[in-house]
Amino acid sequence: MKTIESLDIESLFTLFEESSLSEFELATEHYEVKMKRTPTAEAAKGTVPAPETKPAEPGEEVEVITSPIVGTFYLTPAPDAPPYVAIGSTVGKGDVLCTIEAMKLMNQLEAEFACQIVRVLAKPEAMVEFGAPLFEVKRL
Amino acid sequence: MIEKILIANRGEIALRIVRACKDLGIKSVVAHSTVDRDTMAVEFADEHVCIGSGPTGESYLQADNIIMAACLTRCDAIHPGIGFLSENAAFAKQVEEAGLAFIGPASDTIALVGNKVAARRIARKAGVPITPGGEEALIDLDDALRIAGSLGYPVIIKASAGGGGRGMRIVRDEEGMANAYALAKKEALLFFADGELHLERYIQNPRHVEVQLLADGHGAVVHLGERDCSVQKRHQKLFEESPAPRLSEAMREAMASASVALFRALGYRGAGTVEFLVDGPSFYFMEVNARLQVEHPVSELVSGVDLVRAQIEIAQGKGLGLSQADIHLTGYALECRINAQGAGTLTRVRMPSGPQVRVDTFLESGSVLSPHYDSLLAKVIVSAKSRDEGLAVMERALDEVIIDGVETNLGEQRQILASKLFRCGTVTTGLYGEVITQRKNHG
Repeated sequence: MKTIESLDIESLFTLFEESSLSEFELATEHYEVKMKRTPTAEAAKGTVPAPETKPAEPGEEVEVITSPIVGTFYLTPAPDAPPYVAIGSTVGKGDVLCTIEAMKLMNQLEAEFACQIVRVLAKPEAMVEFGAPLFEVKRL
Repeated sequence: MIEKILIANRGEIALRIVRACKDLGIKSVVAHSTVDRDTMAVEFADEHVCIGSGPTGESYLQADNIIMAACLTRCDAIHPGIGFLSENAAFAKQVEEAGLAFIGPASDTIALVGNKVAARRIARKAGVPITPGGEEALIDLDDALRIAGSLGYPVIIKASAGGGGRGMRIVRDEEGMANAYALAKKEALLFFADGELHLERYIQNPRHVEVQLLADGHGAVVHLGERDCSVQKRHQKLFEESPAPRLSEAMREAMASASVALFRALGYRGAGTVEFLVDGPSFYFMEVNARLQVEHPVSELVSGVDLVRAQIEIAQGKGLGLSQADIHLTGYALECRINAQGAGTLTRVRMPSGPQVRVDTFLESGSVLSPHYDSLLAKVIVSAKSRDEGLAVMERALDEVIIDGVETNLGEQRQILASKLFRCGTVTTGLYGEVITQRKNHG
Protein backbone atom coordinates (compact mmCIF):
# COMPACT_ATOMS: atom_id res chain seq x y z
CA MET A 1 0.00 0.00 0.00
CA LYS A 2 1.13 3.51 -0.81
CA THR A 3 1.92 5.52 2.27
CA ILE A 4 1.17 9.19 2.44
CA GLU A 5 4.88 10.05 2.63
CA SER A 6 5.53 8.46 -0.73
CA LEU A 7 3.06 10.73 -2.51
CA ASP A 8 4.32 13.80 -4.33
CA ILE A 9 2.98 17.27 -3.53
CA GLU A 10 0.87 17.39 -6.67
CA SER A 11 -1.04 14.26 -5.83
CA LEU A 12 -1.49 15.60 -2.30
CA PHE A 13 -3.20 18.65 -3.75
CA THR A 14 -5.47 16.45 -5.83
CA LEU A 15 -6.29 14.30 -2.82
CA PHE A 16 -7.12 17.36 -0.75
CA GLU A 17 -9.22 18.82 -3.56
CA GLU A 18 -11.28 15.66 -3.77
CA SER A 19 -11.62 15.10 -0.04
CA SER A 20 -14.17 16.71 2.24
CA LEU A 21 -11.43 17.93 4.59
CA SER A 22 -11.32 21.61 5.39
CA GLU A 23 -7.73 21.66 6.58
CA PHE A 24 -4.73 19.43 6.10
CA GLU A 25 -1.22 19.55 7.48
CA LEU A 26 1.64 17.20 6.79
CA ALA A 27 5.24 17.25 7.89
CA THR A 28 7.77 14.76 6.58
CA GLU A 29 11.54 14.61 6.77
CA HIS A 30 11.74 16.50 3.47
CA TYR A 31 8.89 18.94 3.50
CA GLU A 32 6.06 20.48 5.45
CA VAL A 33 2.73 21.36 3.82
CA LYS A 34 -0.42 23.13 5.03
CA MET A 35 -3.62 23.28 3.03
CA LYS A 36 -6.79 25.11 3.91
CA ARG A 37 -10.03 25.27 1.99
CA THR A 38 -11.85 28.61 1.65
CA PRO A 39 -15.29 27.97 3.09
CA THR A 40 -18.00 27.78 0.46
CA ALA A 41 -21.38 29.42 0.95
CA GLU A 42 -22.92 26.05 1.81
CA ALA A 43 -20.29 25.12 4.36
CA ALA A 44 -20.62 28.55 5.94
CA LYS A 45 -24.33 27.93 6.49
CA GLY A 46 -23.41 24.77 8.32
CA THR A 47 -25.35 22.44 6.10
CA VAL A 48 -23.97 19.23 4.73
CA PRO A 49 -23.20 19.82 1.07
CA ALA A 50 -25.04 17.48 -1.23
CA PRO A 51 -22.56 15.02 -2.67
CA GLU A 52 -21.70 16.03 -6.19
CA THR A 53 -22.98 13.59 -8.71
CA LYS A 54 -20.11 12.12 -10.62
CA PRO A 55 -21.41 9.49 -13.00
CA ALA A 56 -19.86 6.14 -12.24
CA GLU A 57 -17.77 4.71 -15.02
CA PRO A 58 -19.40 1.88 -16.94
CA GLY A 59 -18.98 -1.42 -15.18
CA GLU A 60 -18.01 0.33 -11.96
CA GLU A 61 -20.28 -0.57 -9.10
CA VAL A 62 -20.14 1.61 -6.06
CA GLU A 63 -21.61 0.85 -2.68
CA VAL A 64 -22.41 3.20 0.15
CA ILE A 65 -21.32 2.58 3.72
CA THR A 66 -23.79 4.12 6.18
CA SER A 67 -23.64 5.08 9.82
CA PRO A 68 -24.90 2.41 12.23
CA ILE A 69 -25.46 4.92 15.04
CA VAL A 70 -26.21 8.57 15.78
CA GLY A 71 -23.06 10.51 16.62
CA THR A 72 -20.31 12.83 15.44
CA PHE A 73 -18.29 11.76 12.42
CA TYR A 74 -14.48 11.96 12.48
CA LEU A 75 -12.10 10.97 9.70
CA THR A 76 -9.08 11.18 11.97
CA PRO A 77 -8.34 9.33 15.21
CA ALA A 78 -7.24 12.63 16.84
CA PRO A 79 -7.47 16.30 15.81
CA ASP A 80 -3.88 16.44 14.53
CA ALA A 81 -3.60 12.88 13.28
CA PRO A 82 -3.76 11.89 9.61
CA PRO A 83 -7.10 10.56 8.37
CA TYR A 84 -7.86 6.85 8.51
CA VAL A 85 -8.69 6.88 4.82
CA ALA A 86 -8.71 9.27 1.91
CA ILE A 87 -10.06 9.15 -1.60
CA GLY A 88 -8.36 6.40 -3.52
CA SER A 89 -7.08 4.55 -0.48
CA THR A 90 -7.80 0.88 -0.25
CA VAL A 91 -8.80 -0.83 2.96
CA GLY A 92 -9.03 -4.46 3.95
CA LYS A 93 -11.84 -6.12 5.82
CA GLY A 94 -11.69 -4.99 9.44
CA ASP A 95 -9.67 -1.84 8.74
CA VAL A 96 -10.91 1.29 10.47
CA LEU A 97 -12.69 3.79 8.21
CA CYS A 98 -13.64 6.50 10.68
CA THR A 99 -14.75 7.09 14.25
CA ILE A 100 -18.21 8.07 15.33
CA GLU A 101 -18.34 9.65 18.73
CA ALA A 102 -21.42 8.76 20.73
CA MET A 103 -22.05 8.82 24.47
CA LYS A 104 -18.43 9.93 25.06
CA LEU A 105 -17.18 6.81 23.29
CA MET A 106 -15.14 6.82 20.11
CA ASN A 107 -16.72 4.03 18.08
CA GLN A 108 -14.41 2.88 15.31
CA LEU A 109 -16.26 1.85 12.20
CA GLU A 110 -14.52 -1.04 10.45
CA ALA A 111 -14.85 -2.01 6.81
CA GLU A 112 -16.98 -5.11 6.41
CA PHE A 113 -15.22 -5.95 3.16
CA ALA A 114 -12.08 -4.94 1.29
CA CYS A 115 -12.76 -1.82 -0.75
CA GLN A 116 -11.43 1.35 -2.28
CA ILE A 117 -12.72 4.71 -1.09
CA VAL A 118 -14.39 6.59 -3.96
CA ARG A 119 -15.83 9.50 -2.02
CA VAL A 120 -16.27 10.67 1.54
CA LEU A 121 -19.93 11.60 1.86
CA ALA A 122 -20.16 12.85 5.45
CA LYS A 123 -18.72 16.10 6.70
CA PRO A 124 -16.04 15.66 9.36
CA GLU A 125 -17.05 16.76 12.84
CA ALA A 126 -20.70 16.97 11.83
CA MET A 127 -23.55 14.95 13.21
CA VAL A 128 -24.52 11.80 11.40
CA GLU A 129 -27.85 10.06 11.90
CA PHE A 130 -28.59 6.36 11.64
CA GLY A 131 -28.28 5.36 8.00
CA ALA A 132 -26.41 8.53 7.00
CA PRO A 133 -24.15 7.86 3.98
CA LEU A 134 -20.47 8.01 5.05
CA PHE A 135 -18.39 6.59 2.20
CA GLU A 136 -18.89 5.63 -1.38
CA VAL A 137 -16.67 2.63 -2.01
CA LYS A 138 -15.75 0.15 -4.71
CA ARG A 139 -15.67 -3.45 -3.50
CA LEU A 140 -12.32 -5.11 -4.20
CA MET B 1 -35.57 27.29 30.08
CA ILE B 2 -36.54 24.72 27.49
CA GLU B 3 -36.08 26.02 23.96
CA LYS B 4 -35.84 22.81 21.98
CA ILE B 5 -37.32 19.39 22.68
CA LEU B 6 -36.41 16.02 21.22
CA ILE B 7 -39.46 13.82 20.81
CA ALA B 8 -38.55 10.17 21.22
CA ASN B 9 -41.72 8.68 19.82
CA ARG B 10 -43.79 8.25 16.71
CA GLY B 11 -47.30 8.30 15.32
CA GLU B 12 -50.10 10.46 16.61
CA ILE B 13 -48.47 11.13 19.98
CA ALA B 14 -45.27 12.46 18.40
CA LEU B 15 -47.44 14.77 16.30
CA ARG B 16 -49.43 15.81 19.40
CA ILE B 17 -46.17 16.85 21.10
CA VAL B 18 -44.86 18.67 18.00
CA ARG B 19 -48.09 20.67 18.01
CA ALA B 20 -47.73 21.57 21.70
CA CYS B 21 -44.16 22.72 21.02
CA LYS B 22 -45.35 24.97 18.20
CA ASP B 23 -48.04 26.45 20.46
CA LEU B 24 -45.37 27.26 23.05
CA GLY B 25 -42.84 28.62 20.56
CA ILE B 26 -40.45 25.76 21.35
CA LYS B 27 -38.42 24.06 18.61
CA SER B 28 -39.02 20.34 18.11
CA VAL B 29 -36.80 17.54 16.85
CA VAL B 30 -38.43 14.20 16.07
CA ALA B 31 -36.28 11.10 16.49
CA HIS B 32 -37.61 8.52 14.06
CA SER B 33 -36.94 5.12 12.54
CA THR B 34 -36.16 4.58 8.86
CA VAL B 35 -39.75 3.37 8.38
CA ASP B 36 -41.28 6.57 9.79
CA ARG B 37 -39.29 9.00 7.67
CA ASP B 38 -42.37 10.14 5.74
CA THR B 39 -44.77 10.57 8.66
CA MET B 40 -46.50 13.81 9.62
CA ALA B 41 -44.63 14.30 12.91
CA VAL B 42 -41.31 14.22 11.01
CA GLU B 43 -42.68 16.59 8.40
CA PHE B 44 -44.04 19.13 10.89
CA ALA B 45 -41.10 19.11 13.32
CA ASP B 46 -38.37 21.73 12.97
CA GLU B 47 -35.74 19.00 12.67
CA HIS B 48 -35.58 15.24 12.55
CA VAL B 49 -32.97 12.59 13.22
CA CYS B 50 -33.08 8.99 12.10
CA ILE B 51 -32.19 6.79 15.09
CA GLY B 52 -32.46 3.30 13.65
CA SER B 53 -34.32 0.79 11.55
CA GLY B 54 -37.94 -0.32 11.74
CA PRO B 55 -38.03 -2.78 14.65
CA THR B 56 -38.60 -0.85 17.90
CA GLY B 57 -35.59 -2.49 19.55
CA GLU B 58 -33.41 -1.05 16.80
CA SER B 59 -34.78 2.50 17.00
CA TYR B 60 -37.35 3.76 19.51
CA LEU B 61 -35.73 1.74 22.30
CA GLN B 62 -32.16 2.73 21.37
CA ALA B 63 -31.53 5.01 24.34
CA ASP B 64 -27.97 5.92 23.31
CA ASN B 65 -28.96 7.01 19.80
CA ILE B 66 -31.85 9.04 21.18
CA ILE B 67 -29.73 10.86 23.75
CA MET B 68 -26.96 11.51 21.20
CA ALA B 69 -29.54 12.89 18.78
CA ALA B 70 -30.81 15.24 21.51
CA CYS B 71 -27.30 16.41 22.43
CA LEU B 72 -26.11 16.89 18.85
CA THR B 73 -29.20 18.85 17.83
CA ARG B 74 -28.76 20.96 21.00
CA CYS B 75 -32.06 20.08 22.64
CA ASP B 76 -32.54 20.82 26.34
CA ALA B 77 -35.22 18.22 26.96
CA ILE B 78 -36.55 14.86 25.83
CA HIS B 79 -40.25 14.06 25.67
CA PRO B 80 -40.61 10.27 25.69
CA GLY B 81 -44.30 10.28 24.68
CA ILE B 82 -46.26 7.12 25.50
CA GLY B 83 -44.94 3.57 25.57
CA PHE B 84 -41.38 2.83 24.36
CA LEU B 85 -39.01 4.43 26.91
CA SER B 86 -41.59 6.61 28.68
CA GLU B 87 -41.71 4.48 31.84
CA ASN B 88 -38.15 3.24 31.71
CA ALA B 89 -36.44 4.53 34.87
CA ALA B 90 -32.96 3.70 33.55
CA PHE B 91 -33.60 5.81 30.45
CA ALA B 92 -34.97 8.72 32.48
CA LYS B 93 -31.83 8.55 34.63
CA GLN B 94 -29.59 8.50 31.55
CA VAL B 95 -31.41 11.60 30.26
CA GLU B 96 -30.96 13.34 33.60
CA GLU B 97 -27.27 12.42 33.66
CA ALA B 98 -26.80 13.79 30.16
CA GLY B 99 -27.89 17.15 31.60
CA LEU B 100 -31.21 17.12 29.76
CA ALA B 101 -34.68 17.57 31.21
CA PHE B 102 -36.83 14.44 31.10
CA ILE B 103 -40.40 15.52 30.44
CA GLY B 104 -42.01 13.21 32.95
CA PRO B 105 -41.51 12.19 36.56
CA ALA B 106 -38.08 11.87 38.19
CA SER B 107 -36.37 8.56 37.38
CA ASP B 108 -36.68 7.49 41.05
CA THR B 109 -40.46 7.96 40.94
CA ILE B 110 -40.71 5.91 37.74
CA ALA B 111 -38.67 3.13 39.34
CA LEU B 112 -40.78 3.20 42.50
CA VAL B 113 -44.20 3.04 40.87
CA GLY B 114 -42.94 0.63 38.22
CA ASN B 115 -42.67 -2.06 40.85
CA LYS B 116 -46.18 -3.25 41.71
CA VAL B 117 -45.24 -4.46 45.19
CA ALA B 118 -43.57 -1.15 46.08
CA ALA B 119 -46.43 0.85 44.53
CA ARG B 120 -49.04 -1.08 46.56
CA ARG B 121 -47.04 -0.48 49.73
CA ILE B 122 -46.84 3.28 49.20
CA ALA B 123 -50.51 3.45 48.12
CA ARG B 124 -51.61 1.67 51.30
CA LYS B 125 -49.48 4.04 53.39
CA ALA B 126 -51.11 7.03 51.67
CA GLY B 127 -54.52 5.66 52.63
CA VAL B 128 -55.47 4.41 49.16
CA PRO B 129 -57.50 1.18 49.20
CA ILE B 130 -55.66 -1.73 47.57
CA THR B 131 -57.01 -5.11 46.44
CA PRO B 132 -56.71 -7.78 49.14
CA GLY B 133 -53.52 -9.70 48.53
CA GLY B 134 -49.93 -10.31 49.53
CA GLU B 135 -48.03 -7.33 50.79
CA GLU B 136 -44.69 -8.72 49.71
CA ALA B 137 -43.41 -10.43 46.60
CA LEU B 138 -44.11 -14.17 46.43
CA ILE B 139 -41.32 -16.35 47.82
CA ASP B 140 -42.27 -19.57 46.07
CA LEU B 141 -45.18 -21.75 44.99
CA ASP B 142 -46.03 -22.74 48.60
CA ASP B 143 -46.20 -19.06 49.54
CA ALA B 144 -48.56 -18.45 46.61
CA LEU B 145 -50.78 -21.37 47.67
CA ARG B 146 -50.87 -20.15 51.27
CA ILE B 147 -51.83 -16.56 50.35
CA ALA B 148 -54.40 -17.68 47.77
CA GLY B 149 -55.90 -20.06 50.34
CA SER B 150 -56.42 -17.25 52.81
CA LEU B 151 -57.82 -14.83 50.16
CA GLY B 152 -60.07 -17.33 48.43
CA TYR B 153 -60.04 -18.09 44.68
CA PRO B 154 -60.02 -16.73 42.01
CA VAL B 155 -56.73 -14.89 42.44
CA ILE B 156 -54.42 -13.19 39.98
CA ILE B 157 -50.63 -13.53 39.81
CA LYS B 158 -48.91 -10.46 38.44
CA ALA B 159 -45.35 -9.72 37.45
CA SER B 160 -44.13 -6.99 39.82
CA ALA B 161 -42.49 -5.23 36.90
CA GLY B 162 -45.45 -5.81 34.57
CA GLY B 163 -48.14 -3.56 33.22
CA GLY B 164 -50.59 -3.09 30.40
CA GLY B 165 -52.03 -6.56 30.84
CA ARG B 166 -48.76 -8.38 30.37
CA GLY B 167 -47.37 -10.97 32.74
CA MET B 168 -50.68 -11.71 34.48
CA ARG B 169 -52.29 -15.09 35.19
CA ILE B 170 -55.70 -15.71 36.64
CA VAL B 171 -55.88 -18.76 38.93
CA ARG B 172 -59.36 -20.19 39.43
CA ASP B 173 -58.52 -22.96 41.93
CA GLU B 174 -55.74 -24.62 43.89
CA GLU B 175 -55.10 -27.21 41.17
CA GLY B 176 -54.31 -24.50 38.63
CA MET B 177 -51.75 -22.73 40.82
CA ALA B 178 -48.57 -24.71 40.08
CA ASN B 179 -48.95 -24.30 36.34
CA ALA B 180 -49.96 -20.62 36.49
CA TYR B 181 -47.12 -19.82 38.88
CA ALA B 182 -44.54 -21.39 36.58
CA LEU B 183 -45.92 -19.64 33.48
CA ALA B 184 -46.18 -16.24 35.15
CA LYS B 185 -42.59 -16.57 36.37
CA LYS B 186 -41.40 -17.45 32.89
CA GLU B 187 -43.34 -14.57 31.28
CA ALA B 188 -42.11 -12.09 33.88
CA LEU B 189 -38.52 -13.06 33.18
CA LEU B 190 -39.06 -13.01 29.45
CA PHE B 191 -40.90 -9.70 29.13
CA PHE B 192 -39.53 -7.72 32.05
CA ALA B 193 -36.24 -9.49 32.86
CA ASP B 194 -37.49 -9.63 36.45
CA GLY B 195 -39.10 -12.77 37.83
CA GLU B 196 -40.64 -11.12 40.90
CA LEU B 197 -44.35 -11.95 41.26
CA HIS B 198 -47.12 -10.99 43.61
CA LEU B 199 -50.64 -12.18 44.17
CA GLU B 200 -53.98 -10.41 44.62
CA ARG B 201 -57.63 -11.35 44.76
CA TYR B 202 -59.01 -11.43 41.22
CA ILE B 203 -61.99 -9.19 40.62
CA GLN B 204 -64.31 -10.53 37.97
CA ASN B 205 -65.45 -7.98 35.36
CA PRO B 206 -64.65 -4.84 37.34
CA ARG B 207 -64.91 -1.33 36.00
CA HIS B 208 -61.68 0.37 35.15
CA VAL B 209 -61.63 3.99 36.27
CA GLU B 210 -58.60 6.25 36.40
CA VAL B 211 -57.87 9.71 37.73
CA GLN B 212 -55.80 12.21 35.73
CA LEU B 213 -53.36 14.30 37.76
CA LEU B 214 -50.84 17.06 37.33
CA ALA B 215 -48.15 17.77 39.92
CA ASP B 216 -45.17 20.09 40.11
CA GLY B 217 -42.81 17.85 42.11
CA HIS B 218 -42.96 20.16 45.12
CA GLY B 219 -46.24 19.03 46.62
CA ALA B 220 -48.70 20.96 44.46
CA VAL B 221 -51.13 18.43 42.97
CA VAL B 222 -54.39 18.86 41.08
CA HIS B 223 -56.71 16.28 39.56
CA LEU B 224 -58.67 16.67 36.33
CA GLY B 225 -61.39 14.21 37.22
CA GLU B 226 -61.70 10.60 36.23
CA ARG B 227 -61.99 8.62 33.02
CA ASP B 228 -63.86 5.37 32.66
CA CYS B 229 -61.83 2.99 30.50
CA SER B 230 -63.78 -0.20 31.14
CA VAL B 231 -64.51 -1.01 27.53
CA GLN B 232 -61.48 -3.10 26.62
CA LYS B 233 -60.52 -5.96 24.39
CA ARG B 234 -57.78 -8.13 25.89
CA HIS B 235 -56.69 -5.30 28.24
CA GLN B 236 -56.50 -2.82 25.35
CA LYS B 237 -58.79 0.15 25.88
CA LEU B 238 -61.39 0.88 23.19
CA PHE B 239 -63.54 3.73 24.56
CA GLU B 240 -62.73 6.20 27.32
CA GLU B 241 -65.11 8.73 28.78
CA SER B 242 -65.36 11.40 31.43
CA PRO B 243 -67.17 11.72 33.75
CA ALA B 244 -67.54 7.99 34.39
CA PRO B 245 -71.20 7.04 33.96
CA ARG B 246 -73.19 5.75 36.94
CA LEU B 247 -70.50 6.48 39.48
CA SER B 248 -71.65 7.88 42.80
CA GLU B 249 -70.48 11.37 43.68
CA ALA B 250 -69.03 9.95 46.90
CA MET B 251 -66.85 7.42 45.08
CA ARG B 252 -65.79 9.98 42.50
CA GLU B 253 -64.58 12.30 45.23
CA ALA B 254 -62.97 9.54 47.31
CA MET B 255 -61.05 8.29 44.28
CA ALA B 256 -59.83 11.77 43.36
CA SER B 257 -58.68 12.64 46.86
CA ALA B 258 -56.97 9.24 47.29
CA SER B 259 -55.11 9.87 44.01
CA VAL B 260 -54.04 13.35 45.09
CA ALA B 261 -52.81 11.94 48.42
CA LEU B 262 -50.80 9.26 46.62
CA PHE B 263 -49.17 11.79 44.26
CA ARG B 264 -48.29 13.98 47.25
CA ALA B 265 -46.73 10.98 48.99
CA LEU B 266 -44.73 10.24 45.86
CA GLY B 267 -43.58 13.84 45.44
CA TYR B 268 -44.72 13.28 41.88
CA ARG B 269 -43.73 15.64 39.05
CA GLY B 270 -45.57 15.95 35.75
CA ALA B 271 -48.71 14.38 34.32
CA GLY B 272 -49.75 10.97 35.59
CA THR B 273 -52.68 8.70 36.22
CA VAL B 274 -53.83 6.51 39.07
CA GLU B 275 -55.78 3.50 37.84
CA PHE B 276 -58.47 1.85 39.94
CA LEU B 277 -60.62 -1.23 39.72
CA VAL B 278 -64.22 -0.62 40.74
CA ASP B 279 -66.13 -3.58 42.11
CA GLY B 280 -69.66 -2.66 43.19
CA PRO B 281 -69.38 -0.20 46.06
CA SER B 282 -65.59 -0.61 46.45
CA PHE B 283 -62.63 0.69 44.53
CA TYR B 284 -59.06 -0.55 44.65
CA PHE B 285 -55.73 0.89 43.57
CA MET B 286 -54.35 -0.89 40.52
CA GLU B 287 -51.32 1.07 39.32
CA VAL B 288 -49.78 4.45 38.61
CA ASN B 289 -49.12 5.33 34.98
CA ALA B 290 -46.13 7.60 35.28
CA ARG B 291 -46.59 9.26 31.90
CA LEU B 292 -49.08 10.82 29.52
CA GLN B 293 -51.82 8.47 28.39
CA VAL B 294 -53.36 7.77 25.01
CA GLU B 295 -56.76 8.90 26.32
CA HIS B 296 -55.50 12.23 27.72
CA PRO B 297 -57.65 14.30 25.28
CA VAL B 298 -60.78 13.18 27.16
CA SER B 299 -59.58 15.02 30.27
CA GLU B 300 -58.39 17.96 28.18
CA LEU B 301 -61.90 18.41 26.80
CA VAL B 302 -63.69 18.34 30.16
CA SER B 303 -61.10 20.45 32.00
CA GLY B 304 -59.87 22.85 29.33
CA VAL B 305 -56.29 22.08 30.41
CA ASP B 306 -53.76 21.22 27.71
CA LEU B 307 -51.91 18.31 29.33
CA VAL B 308 -48.90 18.24 27.02
CA ARG B 309 -48.40 21.96 27.39
CA ALA B 310 -48.68 21.52 31.18
CA GLN B 311 -46.08 18.72 31.09
CA ILE B 312 -43.63 20.98 29.30
CA GLU B 313 -44.29 23.92 31.61
CA ILE B 314 -43.76 21.74 34.67
CA ALA B 315 -40.47 20.48 33.19
CA GLN B 316 -39.49 24.13 32.71
CA GLY B 317 -39.93 24.60 36.45
CA LYS B 318 -42.79 27.03 35.96
CA GLY B 319 -44.91 25.12 38.48
CA LEU B 320 -48.55 24.29 38.01
CA GLY B 321 -49.95 27.79 37.90
CA LEU B 322 -53.21 26.12 38.89
CA SER B 323 -54.94 25.14 42.09
CA GLN B 324 -57.83 22.70 42.38
CA ALA B 325 -60.20 25.66 42.59
CA ASP B 326 -59.09 26.72 39.10
CA ILE B 327 -60.13 23.39 37.59
CA HIS B 328 -63.74 23.41 36.41
CA LEU B 329 -64.83 20.10 35.00
CA THR B 330 -67.71 20.72 32.65
CA GLY B 331 -69.69 18.63 30.21
CA TYR B 332 -68.81 15.24 28.86
CA ALA B 333 -66.11 13.79 26.60
CA LEU B 334 -65.75 10.41 24.90
CA GLU B 335 -62.85 8.94 22.95
CA CYS B 336 -63.10 6.12 20.44
CA ARG B 337 -59.90 4.39 19.38
CA ILE B 338 -59.76 3.24 15.80
CA ASN B 339 -57.28 0.39 15.45
CA ALA B 340 -55.91 -1.46 12.45
CA GLN B 341 -56.21 -5.20 12.27
CA GLY B 342 -53.25 -5.63 9.94
CA ALA B 343 -50.53 -3.72 8.14
CA GLY B 344 -50.67 -2.22 4.66
CA THR B 345 -51.21 0.95 2.68
CA LEU B 346 -54.19 3.14 3.48
CA THR B 347 -55.65 3.75 0.06
CA ARG B 348 -58.23 6.20 1.36
CA VAL B 349 -58.61 7.95 4.70
CA ARG B 350 -61.42 10.32 5.60
CA MET B 351 -61.60 11.55 9.15
CA PRO B 352 -64.66 13.17 10.71
CA SER B 353 -64.94 16.87 11.46
CA GLY B 354 -67.58 19.37 12.42
CA PRO B 355 -68.78 20.69 15.77
CA GLN B 356 -67.66 18.98 18.98
CA VAL B 357 -65.27 16.62 17.20
CA ARG B 358 -61.51 16.36 17.68
CA VAL B 359 -59.41 13.84 15.75
CA ASP B 360 -55.86 12.95 16.74
CA THR B 361 -54.25 10.95 13.95
CA PHE B 362 -51.03 10.85 11.97
CA LEU B 363 -52.49 9.18 8.93
CA GLU B 364 -53.76 10.32 5.57
CA SER B 365 -54.61 8.66 2.28
CA GLY B 366 -51.49 6.89 1.04
CA SER B 367 -49.92 6.40 4.49
CA VAL B 368 -48.22 3.07 4.97
CA LEU B 369 -48.82 1.10 8.17
CA SER B 370 -45.74 -0.77 9.29
CA PRO B 371 -46.12 -4.12 11.04
CA HIS B 372 -43.47 -2.99 13.55
CA TYR B 373 -45.72 -0.66 15.54
CA ASP B 374 -48.96 -0.58 17.46
CA SER B 375 -52.28 -0.64 15.74
CA LEU B 376 -53.70 2.75 16.75
CA LEU B 377 -54.86 4.60 13.63
CA ALA B 378 -56.83 7.47 15.06
CA LYS B 379 -58.53 8.78 18.17
CA VAL B 380 -61.91 10.37 17.62
CA ILE B 381 -62.85 12.47 20.63
CA VAL B 382 -66.12 14.29 21.07
CA SER B 383 -67.26 16.79 23.65
CA ALA B 384 -70.84 17.50 24.64
CA LYS B 385 -73.02 18.88 27.39
CA SER B 386 -74.24 15.43 28.41
CA ARG B 387 -73.47 11.77 27.80
CA ASP B 388 -76.55 11.28 25.60
CA GLU B 389 -75.56 14.21 23.43
CA GLY B 390 -71.97 12.93 23.30
CA LEU B 391 -73.03 9.47 22.13
CA ALA B 392 -75.07 11.04 19.31
CA VAL B 393 -72.12 13.19 18.22
CA MET B 394 -69.81 10.15 18.30
CA GLU B 395 -72.27 8.17 16.19
CA ARG B 396 -72.31 10.97 13.61
CA ALA B 397 -68.51 11.24 13.70
CA LEU B 398 -67.90 7.51 13.26
CA ASP B 399 -70.35 7.43 10.36
CA GLU B 400 -68.12 9.92 8.53
CA VAL B 401 -64.98 7.81 8.88
CA ILE B 402 -63.64 6.01 5.84
CA ILE B 403 -60.47 3.92 6.07
CA ASP B 404 -59.73 1.76 3.06
CA GLY B 405 -56.75 -0.49 2.54
CA VAL B 406 -56.52 -2.22 5.92
CA GLU B 407 -59.01 -3.99 8.15
CA THR B 408 -60.04 -1.90 11.15
CA ASN B 409 -62.14 -2.27 14.29
CA LEU B 410 -64.53 0.45 13.12
CA GLY B 411 -67.43 -1.99 12.69
CA GLU B 412 -66.97 -3.34 16.21
CA GLN B 413 -66.68 0.15 17.65
CA ARG B 414 -69.95 1.18 15.99
CA GLN B 415 -71.59 -1.96 17.41
CA ILE B 416 -70.37 -1.20 20.91
CA LEU B 417 -71.54 2.40 20.65
CA ALA B 418 -74.98 1.24 19.55
CA SER B 419 -75.27 -1.48 22.22
CA LYS B 420 -77.78 -1.18 25.02
CA LEU B 421 -75.13 -1.94 27.63
CA PHE B 422 -72.92 0.92 26.54
CA ARG B 423 -75.79 3.36 26.01
CA CYS B 424 -77.16 2.85 29.50
CA GLY B 425 -73.70 3.25 31.01
CA THR B 426 -73.35 -0.16 32.62
CA VAL B 427 -69.78 -0.49 31.44
CA THR B 428 -67.44 -3.19 32.73
CA THR B 429 -64.38 -4.94 31.37
CA GLY B 430 -66.77 -7.72 30.35
CA LEU B 431 -68.69 -5.48 27.93
CA TYR B 432 -66.67 -6.26 24.81
CA GLY B 433 -67.19 -9.98 25.36
CA GLU B 434 -70.91 -9.54 25.88
CA VAL B 435 -71.50 -7.25 22.92
CA ILE B 436 -69.04 -8.56 20.32
CA THR B 437 -67.84 -12.07 21.13
CA GLN B 438 -71.22 -13.45 22.15
CA ARG B 439 -72.98 -11.92 19.20
CA LYS B 440 -70.45 -13.50 16.87
CA ASN B 441 -70.95 -16.89 18.54
CA HIS B 442 -74.71 -16.66 18.15
CA GLY B 443 -74.32 -15.79 14.48
